[in-house]
Amino acid sequence: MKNNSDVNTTVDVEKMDANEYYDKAFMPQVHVIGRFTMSVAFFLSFASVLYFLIFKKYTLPPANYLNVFLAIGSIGLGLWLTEPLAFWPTLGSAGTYISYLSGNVSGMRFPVALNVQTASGSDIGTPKGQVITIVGIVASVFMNLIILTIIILSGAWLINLLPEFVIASFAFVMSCLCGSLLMMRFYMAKKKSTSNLWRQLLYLGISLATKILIDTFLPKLLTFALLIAVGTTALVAYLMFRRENQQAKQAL
Amino acid sequence: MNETVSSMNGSLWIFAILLIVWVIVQSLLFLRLALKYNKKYQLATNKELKSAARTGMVSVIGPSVSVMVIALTLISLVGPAVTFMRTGVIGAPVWELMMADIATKAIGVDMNSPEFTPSVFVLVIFGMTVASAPYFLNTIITLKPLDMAIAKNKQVDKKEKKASFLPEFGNAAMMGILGYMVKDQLKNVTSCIAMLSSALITFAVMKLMEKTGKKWLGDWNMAISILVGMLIGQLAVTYLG
Repeated sequence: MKNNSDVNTTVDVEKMDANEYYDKAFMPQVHVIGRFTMSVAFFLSFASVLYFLIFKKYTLPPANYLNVFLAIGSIGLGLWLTEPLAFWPTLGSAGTYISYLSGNVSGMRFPVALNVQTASGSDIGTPKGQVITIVGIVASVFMNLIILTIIILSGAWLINLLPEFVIASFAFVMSCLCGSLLMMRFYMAKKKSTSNLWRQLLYLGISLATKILIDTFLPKLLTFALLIAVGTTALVAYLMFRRENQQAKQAL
Repeated sequence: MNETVSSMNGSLWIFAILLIVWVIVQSLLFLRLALKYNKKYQLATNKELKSAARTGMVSVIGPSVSVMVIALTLISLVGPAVTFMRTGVIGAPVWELMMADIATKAIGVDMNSPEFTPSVFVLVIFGMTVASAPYFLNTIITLKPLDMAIAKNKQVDKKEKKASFLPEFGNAAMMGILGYMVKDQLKNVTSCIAMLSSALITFAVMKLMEKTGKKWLGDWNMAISILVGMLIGQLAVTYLG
């Protein structure tokens, strides 16, 4: 054991319990890594463009870049602002940093996060939930890169080996993903209690109804729809939570 | 692939590899942090960690390959290097295809025409990059304050001995995303059939896991459900027309 007097800062860390360490050491480190890697990635992602513009002089009049930026911004703005926030309560901060660098958030990272949290019965707000989610998401990133590399290097022929029927069936991946994830949530909720299951169904219904309303009546809000749907669901959850707490207090 | 694209593909590989390496570096940094924390406090057992890793790996097989089916179109337009770069780093081929399309339309050049010069190709890459880079900025700006707000909230709840809303918040947000995603799958009968089949298989696997006590089945559940569900969906297309 080290002497207490010579390593002041580390002593504090040594004494912390898992929850204290989580708030004071783990999460700050998550943001150091996240902010650093995302900043570098930001510049790296523009590197090829800058190289061709500056060294190869493959340039066009500046107005073109502005036009493209505006055209894409009109579609992207709502998503850029809201999407990460909607996924964050499930992915956690580390998961969100990883997911928004590696991409495919709704098809790969979110499903994996939900899956491992449900299976281990620990949500993202807990130390264990964080660890398990990071491990699951990182594994999904590696696997995805492996498949991506194999298929890109082999060209189209590997995909073409698959029968037409199988290739066409990939159109259903997202539908199946939703079915599987829903069932996992319902199954585990039912295991806890029937009222828990009803609550899950209620949340689902609220979000679904919000999305249907936006799709039919407010198409202008479409790029914000994910956050609106998640926000509405969370708001209802909060109101119910508050009412139950008050009832519990009154009962005391 | 047109001539412009194939002539620039070589140098683009360098940038693509740089970016992919950076994705791997980031993942490894987070993995190390999580494992170190876990080792210190024994939060999850080795078995649980392995199970999470296996789930992460097998669950993305179906989605990964499905992404690549669409990526083939992207390869034919912008070449393998850019596809590798844009699909491995934030992005999904559908989104990238859309962005490439918007970029070319904005200046009125067809991708298969002689006017598709290196300069236009660079503009297309610029468009695809600019479509995702703001996400990076968003996470850099917003995530830390969010976590600080959560930590503060936790302290207040602890002090006042109130029950925390956080677990329920996570649960509600998760179902919120699912509700949003499900809406887009209700577009036709065959999608609904695929979704339902996949749900039933998931249910069956979970029951089986409970009966036999074979926990590893759980790690494969999503992978199996997706693969079987999508084939059933395609069967429905064949027979229902």
